[in-house]
Formats: sequence, structure tokens, C-alpha cells
Amino acid sequence: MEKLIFIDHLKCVGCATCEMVCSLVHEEICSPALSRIRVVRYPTEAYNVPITCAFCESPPCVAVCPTGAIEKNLDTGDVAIDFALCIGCRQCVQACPFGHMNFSFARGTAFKCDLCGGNPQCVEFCWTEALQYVPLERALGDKRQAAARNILQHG
Amino acid sequence: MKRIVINPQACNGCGICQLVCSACKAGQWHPAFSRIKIKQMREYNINVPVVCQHCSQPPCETFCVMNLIYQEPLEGYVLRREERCIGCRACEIACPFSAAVFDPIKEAVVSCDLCGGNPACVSNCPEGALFYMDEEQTADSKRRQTSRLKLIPSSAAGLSRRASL
Amino acid sequence: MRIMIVGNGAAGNQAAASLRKYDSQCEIVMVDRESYMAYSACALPDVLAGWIPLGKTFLQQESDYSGLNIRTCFGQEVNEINLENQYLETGEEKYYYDRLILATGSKPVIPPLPGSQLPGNFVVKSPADIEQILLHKPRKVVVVGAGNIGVETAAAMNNRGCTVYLMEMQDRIMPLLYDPKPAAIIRSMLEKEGIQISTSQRATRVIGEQQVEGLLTEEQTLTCDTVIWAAGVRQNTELAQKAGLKIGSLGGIEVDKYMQTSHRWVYACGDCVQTSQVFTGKPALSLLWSSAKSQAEAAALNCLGQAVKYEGSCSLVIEEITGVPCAAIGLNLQGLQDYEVKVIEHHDADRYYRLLTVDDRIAGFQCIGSIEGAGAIFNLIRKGTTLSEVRRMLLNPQLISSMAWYIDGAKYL
Repeated sequence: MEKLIFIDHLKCVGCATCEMVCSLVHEEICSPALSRIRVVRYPTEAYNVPITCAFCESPPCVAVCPTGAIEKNLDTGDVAIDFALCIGCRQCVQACPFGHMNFSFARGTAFKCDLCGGNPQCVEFCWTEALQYVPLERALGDKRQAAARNILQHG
Repeated sequence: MKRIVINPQACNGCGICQLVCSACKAGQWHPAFSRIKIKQMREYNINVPVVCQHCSQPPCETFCVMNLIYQEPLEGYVLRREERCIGCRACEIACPFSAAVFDPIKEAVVSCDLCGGNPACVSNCPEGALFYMDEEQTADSKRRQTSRLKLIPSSAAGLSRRASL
Repeated sequence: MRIMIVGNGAAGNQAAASLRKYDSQCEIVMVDRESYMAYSACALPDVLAGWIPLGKTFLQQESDYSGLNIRTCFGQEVNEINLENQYLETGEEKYYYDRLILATGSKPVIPPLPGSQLPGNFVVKSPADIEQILLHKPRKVVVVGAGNIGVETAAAMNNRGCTVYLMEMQDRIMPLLYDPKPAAIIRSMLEKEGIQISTSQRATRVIGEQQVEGLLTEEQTLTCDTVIWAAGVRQNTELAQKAGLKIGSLGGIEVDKYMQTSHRWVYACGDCVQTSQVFTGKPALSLLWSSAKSQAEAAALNCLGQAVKYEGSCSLVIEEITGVPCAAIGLNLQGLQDYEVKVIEHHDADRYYRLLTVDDRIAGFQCIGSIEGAGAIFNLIRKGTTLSEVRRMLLNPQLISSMAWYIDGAKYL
């Protein structure tokens, strides 16, 4: 994939803006339960970890789906659900190693991050920059720089 | 909407779920009458309980020639009007989970009905391989598992928590 | 919005049920020339066999329709469809519609041979047929056509205590479902039950004065008092044709992936349509209960404005021959004649199976004796996963425990 959502959970304050924006954009209501990106909060330790689709190269969700409703597009890298084929068996929910795959009983189908078609809104609205939509090299470059600074600072 | 969620890593293949199910549902003490089945892959020492997933668009419902499979209106459980079954077994092949089981005494196909809301297999599993929970809980527990993994490296490396702010 | 459905079979009833499930407000009207409540045509051979009473084949009662607010006009035959002004005309009434779903089904063909109209000639399609056959008190039966229906009918009449002769035009029984080897295994199972079978036989005439007394083929004369024709069906497309809707090359109403006919307000589903096969993509007729229901669900959703594609048909036919389950899924060698097919076969005392693959993709599966795991194979055929991909997944213990659905199917690979 050209760009991916990179998460620096150390910057996440658990404000839920991403969850509200995502659900608003996709479902037209502010409801974290309907958001694709979800933040796991540890209030006592003050950690917050946003979890979203990793767009795996060899997605377990694609493998376990009995009807082939989930497909990996080898050109764009996108992993998308064909709702017409989804039978609502929830194996993808259980197979996703990250717990990203969501399921809506109201609709009877699974749902997942679709990168908002290339302009992910969660990234757009994340004011702490915990979420970034960047090419792999950029993200790695940033991480290396941050690590280097740390080493220099702390000896 | 609660469904039976399986943790295959915890299953040791003891088969108590099969015995309890057959006892509760068929008055028998034999895995052949159980609606939950343990599938094994001996090469990897893997035991996986397989049971009806109560899908939202059940393929078995489409294939039933007697239209006896239906979804209960409140919780969406996939249920059968067993007395109508002529035993054609088409649903057994339609089901990707092999969750439809042929009862040779009734000469009808049966499947898990979640014991009306208190599944006996779940309450009797000694290993914690079966859970009865809704989709929010399932996804949430997986996310917590993942986030725990993400948190370990940061604390272990001793990096300051708010390094860049 | 008023949606009219012509047909009270599997497709018509599923269309009505799906429409009501997704839209509680629309007006649904069903019309059918038969007065019967919905019945399962697939269960009729079981009635002939004496295993179930005819009453058990009925699936709906009046109250089921009224409970869902579905208006039924059974016993009325539609004479004309006026596409331009959007109405149907029966003998009694004119019905205007906003959308129309045609589910007119198919009917078995009795070839126009001499004597084929004599009393004692039957088909197996509706409860009336069953009543007539039983009233006739058959003793020596010839079943013409050894497809799925012919075989089930022959086994049923044999179970009833009749002397049964099963005849087939092609060189093996169930030629559209099974390859020669499994067909031969099934044939010997049937013959062991006392059913006489001959293939490569074509019926030429039915003999008798007042009623059936025998059947002539090109080679022999068979004495019998009953002839049951299971030699093929014809799609009921006269209405559609008369209205000007496009009929496809195989004789079914032509529909696109959204079950829409050549007229944008008219949809069609079930036996009367032609769609495409899920593997080859070629035009195909899928005369199965399950295909009728999937197509009807798609037609209903599209009718309501939700664009839903029908993925194409994949055959799944299962029968119990003398208590032994036999299943044919997808395409057989005949259906895959334009492709290079690899066959994985296994035969032992307990069971027989064969897996047909094309370019490493599973395209067909036939099994006798055990259907365990056939579900996983069925879904793999529809999903289109290659065998190497499947084997790769099987080698991954992490993944396999999530693919519980697959473990049973693994034994076939």
C-alpha cells in the first residue's frame, strides 16, 4: 500500500475524536460503537491504544471468510467487505489478530476501516498526531529520528 | 446479541461439551447426538469446537427445501421447525461450519439452538474454551489483547511516556 | 409501492418474504394459477415413497400470508402483462403494479410421442400429480429420465412396492451431476434394490388402448401400467415472451446480475430465468430450490432499490440412495469439457469422492457414502480459493484454529 495509518499510541490521549468522526462519516451518527477505529483505554495506567485495520498482506480475515466476502485487492492493497456475500458468521471478528473487525447485528454484516477512500478522517481530526497517514518509509524515518533524539538526550 | 464464541487455544478436546449437549438435547450420552462437535487436527494437536454460528444470513435457510429454518425475531437465533424436516441433508452441505448434524433416530437434521439462552456446553466447559457473549464483548476482548502487546515494548524499553509532547 | 409477484413456488414465496422482511410498508400481491398454498416440490418423491403424508409438503397457510400482510390471488391465471402501462390481466381482474417479479417456474415436459397423452402418463411436479399417481394404483412403473428427479422417483416407487424400470437417454444415469464412475456406483446401488436400469435408451411410443399398457424404446418393448416422465423441464416464459421481455439462449428469461429483466421495472427469479454459473461465468439454468431462493432474495432487494448482485449459481444436489448420502456439487467433467481438469479421486469400502480442479481452483465435487466436510468444499468452490492457497492455510496452525469451518474439508485435499 502507498500509505497506511500509523499509530503512535504514546501520543493518544483517549479523546475519542477519531471514533466520533469515523462513526459520523460512515453512519451519520456520533457513536463510538459504530466507529471503525476504536481506542482501547486503560484509565488507571493512563494508556490509550487506537486500533484500526492493518491492511495485512495476507489477511486472516480473508482466509477465514467462508463465502469470500472479504477480498484483498492486490493492486491497491485495500481489504474490503462485499456486504452482499457476508453471511454474518463473525469468523472474521474472531480471526482478526488485532480485534479490528467489527460486526453490526442490526445490519447483519461485518464492517471495517476503508481508509475513507484515501483520505482517512480520523487522521484528519486527530489533534495530537497520534494517527498519521503516511508512506511506510516516512513513518519509519520519523521513528528512527525520535529514537535517535532520545538516545542523544539521555546519553 | 450473544453467540457462542470459541477460544480454540484453550480447548483440550475433552469432549464434555459434546456429552452435555447430547444429554440435554437428545437424551443420549454420545457425541454423535451433540450439536457441538470437536474437530481435530492431530498433526498440530489442535482441537476446535465447531457449532452453529447463528449467522445473520444463514446459508442453511436458503438451502432448506421445507423452509423450516428461521430466525427468532428478538435475538436472531437460527432455529428449526424440526417436525417438518424430511432429512434431505442439503443444509449440512450448505453450512460452511458443518454445524448441521443429522440425528439418525429422529431422521432429521438438528443444530444448536443456544439452549434458549443458556447454552449448556458453555457453562460446562472446564477449560474456558467456550464463551457466550455478544459481538461488542468479543471484539473488545480481542482489542485489549492486542493493545496489551503494543504496550509491552514501550514500558520495557523505558521510553518516557510523553516523549514528544 | 405495490409489488406484484407472479408465482407461488420457492422463488415467489421467498421474494414475498424478503420484501416484507426489508420493507414493512410496501404492498405485496401474489398471483398464481394453482390454488395450492406453497408446497415443497422437492418433498413430493418422499410422498410417493410413503415416507411422509402429502399434507406435510405444504409450507404455508392462509394465516402466514395474511399475518405478513401479503395479498394472495391464487387460482387466477395471468393472461397478459402490459409493460408500458404496468399492469397484469387475469381472467377476472386487472392489477396495476409499480414493480413486477416474475417467478413463473418451469414445468416437466412430456414429449409429444404417440400415446403419451393416455391415462397413466404422469409427471412429478405438484401435489395434484402425486394424488393422480396414487389414485392410479401403479404396479409396474417405467420412469423415463434418470436425472435427479427420475432417480428419486424410481427409488420412491420401488419403496412403495412397485416394479420399477428406470430409463435414460444418455450413456449414464444423472449425466448432468455425476461423472461416469460415481454414476456407475450409484447405479449399482439402485440395481441392488431391485430397480432395473438401462441407459442409452430412448422412448419412442407409449402403447395402450384406454390407458398405458407399455412403452416402446428403439430396442425393446416394456410392459407397464404407469409411465412417469422425468425427462426435462421447460421454463414457463410464455407470459414474458408475449410481453416482449428478452428470453436467453437457454430458454430462460434473461436477467442481469441484479435479477432485472430487459424492462427496468420487471425482475425475475427461479426456474424461469437464466443466470450464469459461478465458475465458468457462462449462461446457465439452475433449477434448484436453493437457487430460486437466493435469486428471489436478490430480486426483492433490487426491487426495493438496494443494488444487490446475485453471485451466480453453483449446483448442490444431495440425495439419499438406499440410505446412503450422495452429493454432487458444482460442475462435473461434462460441464467442464472446455477446461483442463485435474481429478483427485478416492474409493474405499466406506466412501467414494472425487474433486475436480481447474487451474488449481476447485470447480466440482462428487461424493458417495459420507458428506462430512462437503460444506467446506462447497464454500471453497464458490469462494474460488486455489488449492495451494488452501494448503498454505492448512500449514498455518495459528490460522487453522480460526478456520474451524475448514478442518473437515481438509481430508479431501
